[in-house]
Amino acid sequence: MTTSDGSVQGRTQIHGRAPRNRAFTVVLLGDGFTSTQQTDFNTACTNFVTALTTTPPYDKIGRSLNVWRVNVTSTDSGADDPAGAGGTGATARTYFDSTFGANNIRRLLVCNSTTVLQTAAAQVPEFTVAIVVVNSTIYGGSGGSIGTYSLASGATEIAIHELGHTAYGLADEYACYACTSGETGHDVHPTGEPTEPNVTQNTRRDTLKWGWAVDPGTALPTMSNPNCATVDSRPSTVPAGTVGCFEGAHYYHCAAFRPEHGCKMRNLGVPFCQVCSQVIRARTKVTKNICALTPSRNAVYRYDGSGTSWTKIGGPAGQLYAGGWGLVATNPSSGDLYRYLGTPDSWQHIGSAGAQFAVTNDTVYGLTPSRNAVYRYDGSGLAWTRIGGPAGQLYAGGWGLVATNPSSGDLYRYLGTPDSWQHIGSAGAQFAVTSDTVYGLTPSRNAVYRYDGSGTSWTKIGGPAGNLYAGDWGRGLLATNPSSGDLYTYLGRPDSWRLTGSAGAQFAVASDTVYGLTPSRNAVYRYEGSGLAWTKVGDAAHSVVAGDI
Amino acid sequence: MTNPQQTDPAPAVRLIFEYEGDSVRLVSQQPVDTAVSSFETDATTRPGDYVVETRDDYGKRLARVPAREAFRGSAEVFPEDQKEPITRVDVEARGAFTVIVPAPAEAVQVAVVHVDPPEREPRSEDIIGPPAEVRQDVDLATFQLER
Ligand SMILES: [Zn+2]
Repeated sequence: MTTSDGSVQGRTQIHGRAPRNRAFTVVLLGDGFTSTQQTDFNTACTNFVTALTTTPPYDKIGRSLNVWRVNVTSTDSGADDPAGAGGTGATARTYFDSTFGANNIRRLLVCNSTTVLQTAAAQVPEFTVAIVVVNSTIYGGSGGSIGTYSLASGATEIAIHELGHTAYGLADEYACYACTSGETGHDVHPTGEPTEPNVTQNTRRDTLKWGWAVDPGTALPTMSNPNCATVDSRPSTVPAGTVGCFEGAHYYHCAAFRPEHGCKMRNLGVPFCQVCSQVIRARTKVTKNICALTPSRNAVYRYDGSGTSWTKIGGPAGQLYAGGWGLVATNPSSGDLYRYLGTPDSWQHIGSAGAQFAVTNDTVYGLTPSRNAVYRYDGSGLAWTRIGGPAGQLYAGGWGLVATNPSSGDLYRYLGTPDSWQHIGSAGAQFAVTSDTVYGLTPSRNAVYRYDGSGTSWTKIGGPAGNLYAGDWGRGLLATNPSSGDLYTYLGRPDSWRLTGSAGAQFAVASDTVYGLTPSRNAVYRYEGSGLAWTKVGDAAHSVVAGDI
Repeated sequence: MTNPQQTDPAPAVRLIFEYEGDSVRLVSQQPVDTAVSSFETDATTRPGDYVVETRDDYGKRLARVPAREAFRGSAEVFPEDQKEPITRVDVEARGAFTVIVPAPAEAVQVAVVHVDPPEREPRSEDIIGPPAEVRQDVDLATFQLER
């Protein structure tokens, strides 16, 4: 049973619009699908894309994720199912030699990983991770350098859990190894902080690696295991979604902690925790995410992602705007709008001057110089479409575009077709759009509200604030204290905020963390995610913006 | 902004390895047009991890990326009933893995490295400051890059 048992038919991109050299790329390869069963494989791939893109945080990741399928025919249908491991004894001649029953465990489904990697590399050279879909309704799968799963109901969950290891370096959050009753040798995690971002031995609030996500009112540890001889199987003592330190993780009953009570890295069929979600969001964006305009506005620089290294990507600019769609800049003299094409000094003229621009995941929107109409960029050349009348301010993010009425200040959401807008709220001092909703500051700046998603219903989530900043990181929203200027991160529940840093001239929320300009704009700092630790990453700047750049 | 001028994108090479125990073999190397994420090149490593390094003519490390899930002596077993725990089982450490490494012109060699293997005395977590500049990593194998 070798590659002589079939042939590679070719590749097809089935999801995503990211530039191939800057994408997070999943390749699905079929095994045990005969030449007449290729449509079954195609359907399985479509089902995988649906499962993945409806699993948070992938549902909000936008355009960074590409998925390809590689059609491979096998001589026989199915996979080996050895009788010794409780299987039917069936054998199948397949391209990747898939077999159930590895290590005498029927559900352990493995294949020839060298052939899988070579095939994936030949078909989609830039792939990030390869997953083999095995044509069998017997439940099974496995992880490692490649993932495998079968067509049994629920088996896509195996692939999504395994992506957590292979592509994101996430640890297992379950608290046992073989997990047999009376398991020994896994009572207390040996001393030594694990590398992975989602398990820890350190429960100190000021140094906890996921400290950015923990409400000051949440106890640490949040749940301690009363009996290290066994796994703590009690239900959570705090509301679901609370981030803290829950004892039992990384194969040990005690002395290792996970961020939430439940997570897909602990059990299939449940959502990823906030910490794993943040790792996935940050890693899936291969693009760089922070840009700065020099103090004299004579050049645009892009942060290289580590140290203090920046790359000059453009000359003089008036104003920068960024978002999921990318980076745009205005010409400082003409006001004309230019789009950054992904390589230094490569910019495309896409429009004329406007009073304001705003970038969503899909395109850029502009307000005419006299603010009498809103236009949407069509995506090519200099073509724009008028989508609305007069507006005061535009705000955009992953959730979409909102605009204020120039006289009443009322807030309207653009519904996607010209002149189709929904009134969703009354006037505010400022709004900020995240990947899942819009937040607003009352006109007197004495409270922060979150839009509930329907009608004109809003929920108060915080008290007075100076400015709001929105982006991909964490829950997507930060706000400054109106008197001190201190920066607070919203933790996803009303009145749950965490002090994150001191005052700055401006902040930009990227997919990996929040970046800030010092009050005198003489340096750019990056928040490290733990305690109040910030690191200087750049020198003086006029402004910083975050997006897929 | 501080900025040395930089070419973009830097060239990268995909490497595919096969391993059995701690013995490792380079199966293929292939130039690939893709940005290597700083998530990979800046990944922290701990004792016991496996990484792939690119090195210059003098053996100096240029970049290091994690070899996740490689050399692992266990496999995950998934329950059909999702309320049941996921478990692990010991398996022979044998298989294949791939990495994409940044490959600037000066990169001539790649090494598969076992970071500070755990046989030795573990360093106390209480010691503050950088670890002593003693090379404790073990090269499992080195290979020439085809340029
Ligand atoms: Zn998690």
